[in-house]
Amino acid sequence: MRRAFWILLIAIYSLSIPTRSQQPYDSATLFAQLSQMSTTDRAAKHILEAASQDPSVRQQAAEKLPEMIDKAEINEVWLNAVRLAGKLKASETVPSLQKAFLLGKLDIGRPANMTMGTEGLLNDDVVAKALAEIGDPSLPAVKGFLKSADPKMRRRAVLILTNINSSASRSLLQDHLPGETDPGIKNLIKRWQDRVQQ
Amino acid sequence: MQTLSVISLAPNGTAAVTPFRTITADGNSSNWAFLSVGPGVIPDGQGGTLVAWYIPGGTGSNPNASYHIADVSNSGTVDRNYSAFSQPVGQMVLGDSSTGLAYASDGFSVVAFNISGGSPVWTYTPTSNTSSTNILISTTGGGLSVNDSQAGVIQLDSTGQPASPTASLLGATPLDPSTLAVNTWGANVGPWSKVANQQALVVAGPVMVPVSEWSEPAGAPQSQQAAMPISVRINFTGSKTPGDNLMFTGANGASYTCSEALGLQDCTTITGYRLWDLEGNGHVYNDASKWTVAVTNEYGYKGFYRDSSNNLQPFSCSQPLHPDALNFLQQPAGQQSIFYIDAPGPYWGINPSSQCATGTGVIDSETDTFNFQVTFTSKLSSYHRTVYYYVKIVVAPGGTTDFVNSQAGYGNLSRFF
Repeated sequence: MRRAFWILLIAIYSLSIPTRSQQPYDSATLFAQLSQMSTTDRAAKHILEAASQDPSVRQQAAEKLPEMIDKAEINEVWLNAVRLAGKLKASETVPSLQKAFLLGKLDIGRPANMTMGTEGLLNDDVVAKALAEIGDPSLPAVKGFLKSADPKMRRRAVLILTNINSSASRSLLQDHLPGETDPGIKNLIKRWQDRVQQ
Repeated sequence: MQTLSVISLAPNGTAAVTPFRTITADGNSSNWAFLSVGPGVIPDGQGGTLVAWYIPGGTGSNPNASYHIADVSNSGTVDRNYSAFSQPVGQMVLGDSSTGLAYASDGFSVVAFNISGGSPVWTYTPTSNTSSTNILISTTGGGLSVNDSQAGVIQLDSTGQPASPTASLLGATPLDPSTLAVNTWGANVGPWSKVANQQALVVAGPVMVPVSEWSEPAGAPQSQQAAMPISVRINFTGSKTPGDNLMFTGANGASYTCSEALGLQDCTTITGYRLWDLEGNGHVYNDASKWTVAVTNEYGYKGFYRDSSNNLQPFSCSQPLHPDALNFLQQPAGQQSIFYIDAPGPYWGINPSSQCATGTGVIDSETDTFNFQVTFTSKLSSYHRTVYYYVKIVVAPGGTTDFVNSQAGYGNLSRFF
C-alpha cells in the first residue's frame, strides 16, 4: 500500500513537469512583448528559443513579422522583427524585407565597432543579413536588386549572395558578373570567387 | 686546385651544380677549404644560398686561417672573408627581410652583414673573453637575441647595441614566439618568452615574428634544418607594401574607411569612424594560393557618452572571440606574398539602450581594444602559424581622437581594463 502510494506520487510529479519539447509558450504575450520597446529584446530571445522547440511559434512569427517589418517607424522593435525573420529563416518575410532593403543601408542596428570583415558578413546591414540568413528563398528578390542602377544596392546584393554561398547563389553571381559595370563590385565578386575556388 | 660548389636538388629530382670559388691548395689539409659544419648552407631569403666555409690555415699556399660566407645565387657569387671571426662560423640566421641582413657567429663574436654584397654592418663581442655566444633568434626590425654563456640572454637592437642581459635565461633555447602568445585574459599577453631551466620567462617586448625564412639557427622550430614555410608581419603604420593592391577606400574599398595610409585615422567627419588601418603580410616559400588565412577577433570598450541633457553617462560593451571575414585578401597563384587589410575601429556614437550598437549618444571619451588572431594554414600539410596582435583606440575627454595613447602591436591586451 505504502509502495503504491510512492509510485502514484512519483507518477503525478512526473506528469506535472513539462519536458522541454512540451513546454507551453504564451505566444500572444511573447508577440505583444516583442512590440513593446521596453520588452522587445527579451521577447525576441524567447521567441527564438520557443520557435526552436515549437513549430507553431515559428509559424506565428512568420505570420506576424511581415506586418511588423512593413511599419514605417524604424526602432528596436523593427530591428528585432527583421533579425527574427533572418534567424527563423522566415521566407514569408521576403517581400517585406525586399521593401526594407530599398530604404538603403540603415544607420540603426550596426555594431559600434567595425572591421572590414563586419561589412563582409553583413553584420552592419540588418536587412541584407536577414535576407542572407533566409538563403535561397531570397534569391528572386536579390536578383532584382542586382538590376538596380545604384551600385550601393548592387554591392549589398552581391554580399547577400556571397553570404548565402549556395550553388544557386554562386550561379547567380556568375551570371551577373559579365554585366556588372562597377569595377569595385566586379572586383569584389572576382576576389570572392577566387577564394571559393581555392 | 680545389673548387667549391653548391649542389641544388630540385623537387623534380634534377640537380644543378654551381661552382662558386676555386682555391689553390697543396697536399696539406690545413690549406684546404672546409664547409662550416654548424650552419652548413641556409637560404639567403632572396632565392640563393648562404654558405659558410673556412680554411684552417697553416703553411704553404694558404698560411693564414680565413672564415668566409658566400652568397651563391643565379646572379653570381659574393664571397667575403670576415676578419672578426677567429674560428669557423657555427651559426647563421636571416634577419627581418626588410633589413636585408643576416647574422653569423663563430661562437664568440656575432657579425651582422648585408646579404647583398656581404659587407659587415656591426659586430658584437661579449665583454668577457671567456664567454661563448650563441644566436637564439633574429627579431622584427633587425634585432637579434643571443645567449651569452656568462651574462645570459641579451637582445641586440638593429645597430648591435645590447640591452641588459637576462641572467636567469642562461642556456635558453628558442621556441616559436607566435605560439607562445596564448591568450589568457586579464594580463598583457604576447610577450616574447623563452624557456630556460624548465621555466617559461618573459624576456621583453612584444611578440616578434620576423619576416624571415631562417630566423633561428636550426631553421623552422617545427622542422629542424628546414626553412620556415611562412613568415608573417603585420604592418601597423606607414604605407602599404608594394605589390599589395588591396584598397581601403573607393570603389574597391570598404564603405566606412577614409584613407589608404596605415595607422590611426580619424574619419569621424567623413564616415563617422575612428579606425586603425593595418596590413597583414604572409611571405610563403611555395605558392600563396596553397594557404588559407583565417582571422578571429574579440573586443571590449568603455567610456562616457553625452545624453540628451548633455550629461556624461558611462557605457561599455564586450564581445568574445568570434570569426571575422577576410574580404580584403590577396593571394594569387604563382606569387609568394599573401596580403590582407583591415580597419578596426569605433563609431562616433553609441546607442544608450543597446551599447554594442551605433546610436546618437555622442562618445565623449573611450578606450576600445580589439584583439586579433590570424592563422595561416598550409593546404599541403598540417603546418599552421598563428600571430596575435591588437589595436587600442583611445578617445580623449571632449571627443578628440588620442593619437598619443592609441596604439597597435603584436600580442593581445586585456579587454577588461
